[in-house]
Amino acid sequence: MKRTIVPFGPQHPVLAEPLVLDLVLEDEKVIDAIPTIGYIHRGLEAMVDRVEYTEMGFVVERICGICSFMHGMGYCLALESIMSVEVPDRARWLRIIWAEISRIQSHLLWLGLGADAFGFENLFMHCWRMREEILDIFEKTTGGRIIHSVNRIGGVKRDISDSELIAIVARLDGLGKAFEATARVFANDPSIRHRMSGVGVLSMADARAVDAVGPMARASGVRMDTRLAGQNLYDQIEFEPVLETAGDCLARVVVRMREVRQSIDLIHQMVDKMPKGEGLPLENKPRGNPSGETFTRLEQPRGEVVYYVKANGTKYLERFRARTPTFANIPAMIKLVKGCDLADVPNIILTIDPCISCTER
Amino acid sequence: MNPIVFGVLFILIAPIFGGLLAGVDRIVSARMQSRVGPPLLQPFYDLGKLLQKEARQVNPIAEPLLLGHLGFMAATGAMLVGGTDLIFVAFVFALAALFLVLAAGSVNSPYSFAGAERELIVLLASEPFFILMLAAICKVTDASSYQGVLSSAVMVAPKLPGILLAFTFVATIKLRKSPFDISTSHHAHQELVSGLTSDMSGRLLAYVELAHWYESAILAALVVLFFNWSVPLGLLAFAVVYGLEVLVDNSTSRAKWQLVLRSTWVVTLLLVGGNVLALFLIK
Amino acid sequence: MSNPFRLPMAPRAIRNLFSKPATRRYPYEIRPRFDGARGTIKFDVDTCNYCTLCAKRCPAAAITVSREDRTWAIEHLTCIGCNVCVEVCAKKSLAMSTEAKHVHTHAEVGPQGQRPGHEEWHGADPAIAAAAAKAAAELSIDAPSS
Repeated sequence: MKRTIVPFGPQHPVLAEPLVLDLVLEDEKVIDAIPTIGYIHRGLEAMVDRVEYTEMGFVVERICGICSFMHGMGYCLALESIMSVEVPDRARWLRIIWAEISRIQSHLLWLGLGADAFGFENLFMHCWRMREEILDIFEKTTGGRIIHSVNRIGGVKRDISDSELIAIVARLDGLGKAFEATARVFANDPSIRHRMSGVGVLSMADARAVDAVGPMARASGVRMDTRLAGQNLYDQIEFEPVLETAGDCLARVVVRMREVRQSIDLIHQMVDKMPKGEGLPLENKPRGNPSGETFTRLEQPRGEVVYYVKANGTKYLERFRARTPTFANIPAMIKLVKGCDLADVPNIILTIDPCISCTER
Repeated sequence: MNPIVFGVLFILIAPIFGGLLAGVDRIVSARMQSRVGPPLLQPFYDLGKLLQKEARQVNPIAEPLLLGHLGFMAATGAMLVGGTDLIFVAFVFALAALFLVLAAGSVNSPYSFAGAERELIVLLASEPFFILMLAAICKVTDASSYQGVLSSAVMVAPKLPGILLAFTFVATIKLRKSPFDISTSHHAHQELVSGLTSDMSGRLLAYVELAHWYESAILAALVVLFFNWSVPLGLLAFAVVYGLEVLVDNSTSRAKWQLVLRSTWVVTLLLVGGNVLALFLIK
Repeated sequence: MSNPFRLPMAPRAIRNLFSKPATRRYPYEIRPRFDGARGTIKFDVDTCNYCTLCAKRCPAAAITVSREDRTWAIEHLTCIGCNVCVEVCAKKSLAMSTEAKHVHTHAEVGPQGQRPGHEEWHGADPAIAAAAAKAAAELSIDAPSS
């Protein structure tokens, strides 16, 4: 049969980011998919030899506009472990509160984009409308909607007052109620079921074989979450990762919807557990220049991210690397795209929650 | 009055009607999504902008084909209200749609080509229905022209409720509304990026837009056929049908073409077949 | 499977149709920013002692300070709004205002060679400044008697 090659990207409206997939089609069946990455490689990691380690945090934060908080936090955690800086307790709690809020933000954004990919514009609008509330919380507490710039090596720059924290929790509860109405549509709409159910099934064995991370792996039943390691105070709260077993596109939607609820619950627990009071210390400034190397892992909304930092005692780091979750999930995506319908390609690509900015840095 | 006058009037008024309808559609859709939405006349501004823009032609044959699409679409409407045989009109309607497919298929881009293929599938799903519908209307009213049906003593809608229902279903395809907007959608976020029109620009795209306005006016004229005892009532019914389409558009995702083809045929067979059978049995 | 003709989104769509839109007509209607939102850097030329620490710490190199010429300049379009300069300023000459950064249009920027977003201050020469202060002081002392 005659084969056609459809160039999917780098400018494809389904995905606003320059992922390139050359889809080899027979009729409307995808036979093969050849990915090309590198269209927005900005060389951010190489900037360490020109940018001082204290300023590098702002660069790392700009790897991606959706997980910017976690990137900034991961960089600071890595440097803190090299320089053995003790971060004040309240600052540590504030960081993970912001991290969970940014997870809600990311998942709401993704749910909207997912809805958009299967042609449900109204649902897209509603998901992003809820996300706007989260951005308001960010603007209020950190000063920025997308780029927060509150993480510094040794702590955080801004405090959230206890009364403000209670207000945020109440606001998130309200958001949770509004979210249920949207979640019901995702779960019950027959046209969504038609597009998502049974599409792009990744079995548990395959998920392990291609090393899927994050919600992608958890939707296939793999109990894998960096938060389980108990770092960053996650050992002090009750946490059990969300698991689904179906492994199809719908399961990946459901995992993320349940993680929104879970994050709201986690923030409840964090606000209860954190030390209260005004004027508690937030930052222990590091002294001297870093020397040594470290790996830091974090659970980003998209999955596990790994930062490698090597410092040589000067104010410029020797090496900085970030292995982002999308990069780890691309093999799984390629595996799923092969053999599916052309109409399913956007759904499959979107359900890995691709962030090409993160992938290519 | 001479029926030809109606035909000429249709050619003049239909674009205004279609454009205003598109404007109302955009506002209502936006409000359903809790957006503010564009001004009412936005479709006309868009059309003006498209006409000003440079038209990049991938294949020079596309322009005559698109003009054919526009011309035959306008002719369909003019012939419909101008009193030509209704079955003949149904075939001209299909011909007009075919020109669009040819124009999209004349380009060697995979997106445009896949869009053209899907449009053919969509035609395969919808055209049999339109022919059956017009045949049934001719049958119950014993007339063969638009004026004939309008002046017939038989009221169509009570006789053909199943076909009216099926029309509401199939019109989703013609109005390019989700879940059936598989070959082109008003919204570009789909795997084919509005496949059918992806290689048309400038005035070429303006022709397609204008033809679509004629198409909506034709659909309005077809709804009037069901309510042949009162034209205002027919237009009101069209408003209801269109409102339902907009609501469904904003409450569903885009279906795959397999489902579109299957469901349209099942609906056509069940509702049209059932309706016609009932007519024979009850008589 | 459940009823294939269910439209769980439809009631919501109808409710939205008859309620106020959630969006704003942006350029005509601007949402006020929250207190503490980071926007534009404001500079107070009178208190600055030209220590150049802000320029050194700026990750985007948006600030240029010259101690000799007593000039302080910022490229607002290069500024990333990280607040570091405000944090390090010992004289509190810098402040972060919530006002959103100005968007420069082509028409506004004008011909080539213009520097959109460039803002520059010239501090008075210390000797002249002292003289001016003295003159002002004298003037205010003189004022009641005259």
